[in-house]
Amino acid sequence: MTNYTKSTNFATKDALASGNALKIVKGTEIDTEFNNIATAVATKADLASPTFTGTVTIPTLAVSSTLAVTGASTLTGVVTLTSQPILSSLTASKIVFTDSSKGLVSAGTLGADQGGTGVANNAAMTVTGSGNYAYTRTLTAATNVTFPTTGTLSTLAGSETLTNKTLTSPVIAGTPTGVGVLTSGTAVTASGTAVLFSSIPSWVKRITIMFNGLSSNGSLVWLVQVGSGSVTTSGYLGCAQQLNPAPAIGAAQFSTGFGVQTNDASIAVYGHMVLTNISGNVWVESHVMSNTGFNYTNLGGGNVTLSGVLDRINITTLNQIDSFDAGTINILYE
Amino acid sequence: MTHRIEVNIETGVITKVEYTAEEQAVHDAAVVAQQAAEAQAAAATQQQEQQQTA
Repeated sequence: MTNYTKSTNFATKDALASGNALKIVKGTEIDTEFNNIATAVATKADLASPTFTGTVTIPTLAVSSTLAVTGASTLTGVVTLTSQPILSSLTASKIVFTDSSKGLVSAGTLGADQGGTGVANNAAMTVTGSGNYAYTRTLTAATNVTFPTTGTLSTLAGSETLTNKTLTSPVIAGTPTGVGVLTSGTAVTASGTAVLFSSIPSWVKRITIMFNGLSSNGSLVWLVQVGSGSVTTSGYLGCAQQLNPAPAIGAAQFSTGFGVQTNDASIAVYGHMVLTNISGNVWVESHVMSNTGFNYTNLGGGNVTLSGVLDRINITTLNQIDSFDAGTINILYE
Repeated sequence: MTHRIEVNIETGVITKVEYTAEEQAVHDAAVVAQQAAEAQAAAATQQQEQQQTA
């Protein structure tokens, strides 16, 4: 690009005296000037539809109509768009932010129709919805959604602890376990002088002891004792009785346990003893049992106050002299 | 040897616990005392029946 440079100073010729050869305006001088002008004009941009080559520096560019960028371009400075930009005809590729830390920055909000939420969100990506809308995600194939390992979310098949949830008409397909659920202990074949069930949960309020053909090798009464940390062997109130045609065994008081009246090594006892926690560490007992082949009925009731939370039950014989020789025992607790 | 059964319902473990020598001695003494008491009671009953018969 060439600027016009004057070759001949025609003004100086006016001061020259007549006859001075330099005073003459020559055609070659004029031609040189016109050639200089022609060269300069030919290398300058036209006002209408100019075509630039090389690097063009424009301090301020005001585009009143259409700005068409047809080749690969790099904007190295801060570009401020004062009116709404419209990106159209992006058929070949999409906008790519190669540096993830420099994505879109907006002082306002991105609407839901543009992939946003319509409200301002924070740096922790807390998505806040405005309005009463269902959160719907339509998927057409098996999809895994990974949630944080801890927090307040619940997953479909994970093991979480739910707090303050109300289940309306739940359908329980498996076997429920845990606090407040009726749970069976482990049935055991009775033998020896005692059968002790330990580690009973502290939340238990009712215990059912099942006597299934229980038999001992003597005629002494049986005792069911409870305890907290150890078996309690005193402080029981109540009585037990065995009803049989003859000879009848009257009711008797037992203070070392809840008594179950028996008087024959050959009988097998079937029935239940139920213990309920009326309040604190006070437990109330009752039982009704019977025998096969002897027409005996055993019944009774009582009460005991423990020093702590009940955690064990001991089924034994008076003074632990006789031994159990048949039958099974188990407990249900809830 | 005399024993007792312990059932841990938390673990489901069933344990047969044999008496210690001391526990066994106490147990044996209690059995002997019980047998003596029953024999004494039986003798008393028999004596009472004989007196009633006479």
